[in-house]
Amino acid sequence: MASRKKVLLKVIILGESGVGKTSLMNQYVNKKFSNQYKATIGADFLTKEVLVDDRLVTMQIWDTAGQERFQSLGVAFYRGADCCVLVYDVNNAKSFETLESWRDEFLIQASPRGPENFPFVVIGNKIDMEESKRMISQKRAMAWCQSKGNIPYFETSAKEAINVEQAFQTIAKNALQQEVEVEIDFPDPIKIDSDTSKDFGCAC
Amino acid sequence: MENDPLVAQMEDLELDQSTLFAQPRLLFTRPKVYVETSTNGKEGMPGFISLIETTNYEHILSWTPEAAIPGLDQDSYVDISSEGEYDSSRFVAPPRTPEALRSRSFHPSDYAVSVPLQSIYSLLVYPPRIKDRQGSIIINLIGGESLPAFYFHDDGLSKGKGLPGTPPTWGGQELLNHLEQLVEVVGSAIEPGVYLVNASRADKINHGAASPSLPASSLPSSGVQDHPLREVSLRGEHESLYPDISSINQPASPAPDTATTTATGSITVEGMRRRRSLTENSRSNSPGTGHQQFASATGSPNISSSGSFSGRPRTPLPFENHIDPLVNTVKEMRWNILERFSQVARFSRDAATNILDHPITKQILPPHVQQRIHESEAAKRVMDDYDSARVYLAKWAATVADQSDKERREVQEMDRLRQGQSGTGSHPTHGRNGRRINDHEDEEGPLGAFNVLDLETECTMIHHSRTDPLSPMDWFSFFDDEGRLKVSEGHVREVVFRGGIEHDIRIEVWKFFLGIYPWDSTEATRVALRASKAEEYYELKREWFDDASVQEDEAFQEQKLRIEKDVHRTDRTISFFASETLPNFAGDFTGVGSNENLELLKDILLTYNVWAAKSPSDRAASTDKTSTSQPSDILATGETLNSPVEPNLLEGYVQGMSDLLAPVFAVMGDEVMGFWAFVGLMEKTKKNFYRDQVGMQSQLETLCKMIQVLDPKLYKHLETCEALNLFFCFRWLLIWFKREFEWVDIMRLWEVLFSDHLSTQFQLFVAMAVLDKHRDVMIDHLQGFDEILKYVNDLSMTIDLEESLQNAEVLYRRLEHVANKVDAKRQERTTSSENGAEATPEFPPALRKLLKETPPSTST
Ligand SMILES: Nc1nc2c(ncn2[C@@H]2O[C@H](COP(=O)(O)OP(=O)(O)OP(=O)(O)O)[C@@H](O)[C@H]2O)c(=O)[nH]1
Ligand SMILES: [Mg+2]
Repeated sequence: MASRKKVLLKVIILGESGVGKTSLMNQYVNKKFSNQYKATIGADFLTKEVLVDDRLVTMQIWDTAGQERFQSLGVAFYRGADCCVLVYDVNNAKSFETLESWRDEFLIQASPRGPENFPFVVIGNKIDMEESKRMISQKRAMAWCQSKGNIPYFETSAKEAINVEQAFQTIAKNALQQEVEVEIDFPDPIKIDSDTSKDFGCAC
Repeated sequence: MENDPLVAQMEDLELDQSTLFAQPRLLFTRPKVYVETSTNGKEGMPGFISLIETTNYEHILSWTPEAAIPGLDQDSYVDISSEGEYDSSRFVAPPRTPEALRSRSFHPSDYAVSVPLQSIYSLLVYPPRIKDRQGSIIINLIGGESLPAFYFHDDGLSKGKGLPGTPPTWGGQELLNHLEQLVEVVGSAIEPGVYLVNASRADKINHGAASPSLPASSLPSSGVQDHPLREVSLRGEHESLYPDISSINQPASPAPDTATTTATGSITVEGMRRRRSLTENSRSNSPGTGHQQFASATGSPNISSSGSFSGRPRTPLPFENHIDPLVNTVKEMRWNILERFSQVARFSRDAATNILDHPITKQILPPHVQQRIHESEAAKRVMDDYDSARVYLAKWAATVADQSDKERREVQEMDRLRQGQSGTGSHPTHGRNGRRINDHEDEEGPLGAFNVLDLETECTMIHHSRTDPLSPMDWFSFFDDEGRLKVSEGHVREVVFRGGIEHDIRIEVWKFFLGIYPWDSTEATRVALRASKAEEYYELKREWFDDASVQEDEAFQEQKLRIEKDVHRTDRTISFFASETLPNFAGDFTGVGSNENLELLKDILLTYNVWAAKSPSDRAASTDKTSTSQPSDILATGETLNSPVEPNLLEGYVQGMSDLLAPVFAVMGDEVMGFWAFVGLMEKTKKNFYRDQVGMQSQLETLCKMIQVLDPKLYKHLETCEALNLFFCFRWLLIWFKREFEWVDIMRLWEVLFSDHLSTQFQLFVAMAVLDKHRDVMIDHLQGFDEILKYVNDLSMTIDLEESLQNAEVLYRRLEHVANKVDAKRQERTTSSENGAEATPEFPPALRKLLKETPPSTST
């Protein structure tokens, strides 16, 4: 039986302003899309319970402002992250080109243990738009991801809920792995097998 | 529980016990109880299940859909203020069976349901199981009807499963536990999962062969399992995921005395059959339930309504002293609590629109504040049931307390007016917001000697000066025949600070405050200015608008994209910016259309880039603004040209600027004046947008110092939470609370900030006021930076502006008071001993800068 230890996974979403970070988060957590999300100022997060490999975990998903100017706030938000999601807009070349600096900046500010192995996930968003608008091919994006240590890559539409669930499943999975590796020395205090334990309440 | 904000609050507010006792009370409530509906699919519709005691001690069970409560879910919110459809007869409640289950109406409030406990015949309890994680309860009424199944979604609440010895409480169990305190609930020995409410003797016999004559006292108090009439406990019956909790709460509740034979008069065989068939679906059918006997017993007269313990003081069941094991898991569940918190914040946005004023409860609860207080009092008792409810009720109570505080102040105000005194409101320094009074006692504050000052008592008499907005009549009376101001500029500033401006004249008055019109201008000057401003603006605009090379410039295009992207996400709910009469020229994103005003926002922002690139941006920083300095009227005086040019730190459009522009543009109503008003506003806020973020940083640091001086306890708490960076106030300060208040409030707030009357940084006092309002909740419930951030973000659109402004002014005076005290003390020590001054710390210079310079104290 899987361990039931409570796990909180901290996930940070980064990327240029307007690529759809807020939309992705809301699509994933609230199953909603609105084209009236305001530009994010500061940061906010949502939480969601997910089952990953039989474990119930809580994902705390941080949505940050996209403008570089506000990156200095990052330190406060990045610390203790278990996974970092880099988002770009497939119809906007610049948003892809800046992925590298978002990644580097994150590693500097979050300074995770073992930066080489820190889990990232890359998302190319807004694939619902006309093909003619597309600026970054899947091939190009995947090549970049490969060069950065095989970062998992997803193409999504927050608007049409394409692939969002799958992307976040992987995010959760990789974040959990990170978390497990970090906290390996704390064994699960108790195993509660729900199917057989009827009587563990106070017996008085 | 001495940390409980409610306790203090209640001490403050509980006015008259005797009247309060006559009020209805909320005894129990639990969110996330779902009812299946035709529209919401499998998931069902979430709502609150509650137990309420009415004024005549009748107990009611009700379920209210979240969606029926304004603010909880904007999408599904439908106005339900019409009361006509509710039957206000005996049960002061909506139809017993939700209308929507019969018809195909999808109105959320139709699903609301409310029944007196006396009308409940039995409960079918399906605790959560491995496959069916939610668990549900079906309530059968005496008339034979059944309420829809209530699914208790405990996912968010049951995360403590892994902790040893801390079994979580299933919501259904909690409901049963609370029901048990109000009515007799016995489990059927032959039909597992069936619980009879105030069962008749006949029913008891049928369901458990209980000896009808057995007096209550002789019931065995232990060995519950052996007795056919089991206590309300789900123990071991259904491989429950949830270990038994109530069995810890021995002994069993007393069986009813013989006099409380129940009102079973209306039970029919048919009704019974229906219940039977419900039970047969899912569990093994026990034979021999003796329908005839049952039917024969139904003739017994309704002797007393045992459902209500009216007038009889109820001795607390041991249950009540039992510490809910969930408390231990609270730490684990904080995230879920926070989620709920956010709902709560919205939920309690307006005391008048939450549960209490919902049409369903409205009829039970007359709209008096006192009883709202009492609601919270009662609520307090059930707060420990589980933490999210506690938090929820705490917030609710805070709102209620607020309301009463406000009304009390109104009454005071009326009294004062009647006695012909000035309309100055006094601000009660205690009781407000339910804040604890003695917080500063025995606090070794970070500033040591500051603690000598007994702020709370010394500042009791500090008043705010808020009053009515400036009317057009008064405004025009300020001018002479030439249209020149004949009152002092300071007077206008003070008037606007105290009351704001009526909307009709904002368009004019703001032009003075935003530096478009000089204060000493005549009407003729202003006419000329309008023309020259227009010329100047279009000249700036032409620089990018008419220049193809600029348009093709990559940097320009990038700026344009940034601006477009944000403008399309700015205040689209405001009618001024809502329409989609033009195509979205940006052609980006979701294909939502544009409109003329949006296009003008873009133009203004692009033109501002041109303007900002030409002007020394650090002007505000170089002329160190003290309170006496005037707001920038550089535009009017042309003084800009003479200032030393400093490196431009603005570098184009920064997110947040569109938020600042939208209201000033809407007030001005045209492009030219919108632009210049924006320039004036940016003079006050542009440091916030500098590349190095130094403007934001210094504001946050100053605010932090202010907390340290005015509320050491909160400061300490933030310190333990590692939240002293105050990043959760970042959005507030960056765009002057634009995202925290409704549109109309933003205009009211901003003109107070424009006035620079007490301080040029009055936004910091407003921030302090909002923090002050929530400091108890923060201290008691929020334990980390992220929790605080979430909580503060979710305050958005729930903050009372008028109150915040009043409190901000009081806080200003308080800070001033501290400054004077500290100065006086230091002076005293320097004169009495040589090195004495060192013992008293200096008043922080950063804070001193916020205060208006006052003539040195002559009192000593
Ligand atoms: N067509 C399409 N538009 C999208 C999609 N996701 C987001 N958008 C739109 O892109 C714009 C920006 O989306 P946001 O989610 O606010 O972007 P963001 O990354 O959070 O932006 P910042 O908060 O400024 O950093 C909005 O107008 C969205 O409606 C998508 O999958 N498809
Ligand atoms: Mg965003």
